[in-house]
Amino acid sequence: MSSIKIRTKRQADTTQIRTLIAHPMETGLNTDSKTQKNIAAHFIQQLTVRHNDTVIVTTDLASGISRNPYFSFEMKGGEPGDKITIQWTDNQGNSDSQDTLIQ
Amino acid sequence: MTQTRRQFIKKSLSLGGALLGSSLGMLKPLLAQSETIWPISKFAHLTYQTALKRITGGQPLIASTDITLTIPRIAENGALVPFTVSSTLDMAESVFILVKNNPVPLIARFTLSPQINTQLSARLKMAETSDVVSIVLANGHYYYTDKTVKVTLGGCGG
Repeated sequence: MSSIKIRTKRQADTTQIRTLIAHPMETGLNTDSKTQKNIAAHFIQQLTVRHNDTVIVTTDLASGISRNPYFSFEMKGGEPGDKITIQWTDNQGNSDSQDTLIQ
Repeated sequence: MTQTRRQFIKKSLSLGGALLGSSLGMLKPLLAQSETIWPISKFAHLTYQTALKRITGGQPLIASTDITLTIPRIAENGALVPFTVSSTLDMAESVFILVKNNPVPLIARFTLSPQINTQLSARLKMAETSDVVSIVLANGHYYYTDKTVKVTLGGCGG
């Protein structure tokens, strides 16, 4: 199952894009309470939002974003059937991508 | 082949120079590449002031009332502080979010295309009570607005 959930909502002349990503977003500063070992940093570094394959937002993130990050953007225009793609890459080289059609 | 000492030195010098030149040439694209993979890597683990300097490149920060930062005044849980940045500035290219007292002050940089309205929200972590600063780059100038958020339970540790 994809780690990305996308919701789009068309308003008068804009489209709201909301996304929720399942990711631990570890800062690398925490210790495991059981083993007393440092938990390695694991966070999303880059998130891109595409509208019909054109990049509309690039987000460079640090570990200061909360666990299971949520983002909301507002796009001008947007027609039903337009494709919204969201893709992320984290500092351990993992990545995921998901696309959805505007309702 | 006979080679005088003078010739030898001359040759080795020019060779060394060529090597140095090429290695410098190699270094530049390498740096550029790492920046494209994660451009804010150079901001990570910097103090607030240095991070700020890197962002603006020494340009002055202009306080602006055209940026609205919506964030709770008191955050019960520092691990999850929702915020919204909206601005009426024209030609906004990037939005930066910083938390002054966090171990890593820079939270995120949003690079916006003209198709996007400057109206975005996300959730951030806060270690302790701190100022939250949002910087908007528009028309080559850096505008900012800030708000103090009181944290009753830290979000970065344990």
